[in-house]
Amino acid sequence: MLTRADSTVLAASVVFIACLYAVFWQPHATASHINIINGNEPPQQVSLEQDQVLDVKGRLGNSRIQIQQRRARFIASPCNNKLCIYQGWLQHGGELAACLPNRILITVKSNRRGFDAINY
Amino acid sequence: MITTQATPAVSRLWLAGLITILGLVGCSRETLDEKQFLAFGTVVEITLYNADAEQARLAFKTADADLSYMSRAWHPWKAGTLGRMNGLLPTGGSFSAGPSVVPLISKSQTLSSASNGLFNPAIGNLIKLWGFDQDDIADSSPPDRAAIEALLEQHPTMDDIILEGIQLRSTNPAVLLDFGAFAKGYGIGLLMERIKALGIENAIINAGGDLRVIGSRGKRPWRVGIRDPRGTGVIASIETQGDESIFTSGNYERYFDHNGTRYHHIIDPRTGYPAEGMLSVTVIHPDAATADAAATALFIAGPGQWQEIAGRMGIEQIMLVDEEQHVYMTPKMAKRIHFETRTLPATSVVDLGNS
Repeated sequence: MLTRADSTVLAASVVFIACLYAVFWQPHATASHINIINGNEPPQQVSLEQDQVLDVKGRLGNSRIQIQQRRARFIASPCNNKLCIYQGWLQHGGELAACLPNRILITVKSNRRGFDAINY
Repeated sequence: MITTQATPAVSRLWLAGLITILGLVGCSRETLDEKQFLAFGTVVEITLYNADAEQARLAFKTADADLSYMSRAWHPWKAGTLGRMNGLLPTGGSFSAGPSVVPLISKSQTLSSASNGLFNPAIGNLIKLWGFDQDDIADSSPPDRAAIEALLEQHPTMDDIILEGIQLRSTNPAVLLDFGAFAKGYGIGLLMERIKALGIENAIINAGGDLRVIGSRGKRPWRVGIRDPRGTGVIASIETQGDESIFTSGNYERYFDHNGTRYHHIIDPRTGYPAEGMLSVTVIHPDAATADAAATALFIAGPGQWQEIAGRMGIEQIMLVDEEQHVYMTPKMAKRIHFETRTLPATSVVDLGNS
């Protein structure tokens, strides 16, 4: 027969294991937010939870950033070669795209199971 | 019967649980400092793990000053140390080289020789001819074949540079130095040494996708994704092993399209045209400058010659994706690569010793 203490230990164990699950077995590489860096201004943190389109005014004009299905990308920018747009969707932690002429930078941040950096 | 008294066994269990929880709480305290800089025509991001606040402040201050100096001094076309030298090289006369550029020249001469001339920073005139010296290349078109051939006939190489102390001259008026495939690697290698000297043991410098890494992220290694050159996303990941550099050269980095053909920025010094056969080459090596030069040289070497050049340059960890989207890896790289794609690509493990 279980004593009250045994029951308490059992309940605590269940809670403890649930906490371990939450801390260590999170979904693989889910990005949580992006940082938008505009020139020398402090990074602006934007959640990837909500689909939206953002206009960020840079040195040359507006860069347009789209957030959709937990991904982000440049969809318009005033630079000539549009490398920032060609970079496509960013979805993994550590990914980064920049419109250097307009001095706008996006970096993707994720939970602890994401990548620390992307090599390319 | 219900009793309220815990047995000794239960008490021990509680104690063990408490110690475990305290241990986990203790382990989970970590700090990550990140800062971005614009340098070498790209974004340089520095990440520090568990550095104290003063170390981080000094590291970022050092990085800001060093990166801005290196970008200015080593820019081949703008007014600065290398820009001035490039103006003097065609004269054939001897002049004093900028002290910061001297090691760049001597090291790149060694690497150029090891690569059999495939890594060749002396072809700055070809890079200019193609327009890759410009920031914006969207509306570019390929240069005339005759102009390319005229430059190739003059055969500029790093052997044409005579360096005696800090006195420098060129025996070939066609030499124009462009360290675009090397300065970034050399620069972030130097910067990491400065960061290590501050007592920082765990850091990543990410210079536009090329990485110099030390230490780990706590109890786990740094985890690096390698971009899929066949599209978007990540093709594979690597867990870093202490102190190393991971560099990739890819045809997707800088290019322009003209009449339906894509022209990328990695120019083959043998043909004067963008190198053919590869989509990307990833190299891991302890030295960032060597990794940078080798990634370019192996990309140019192409499917038929990369093994020979890797052997000459002493590179053992390589992953290549060719235009057929086939992935080639050396045995040491294959042991570390973890593919992240839903469908595994066609792969081959190639032993350099048998090449």
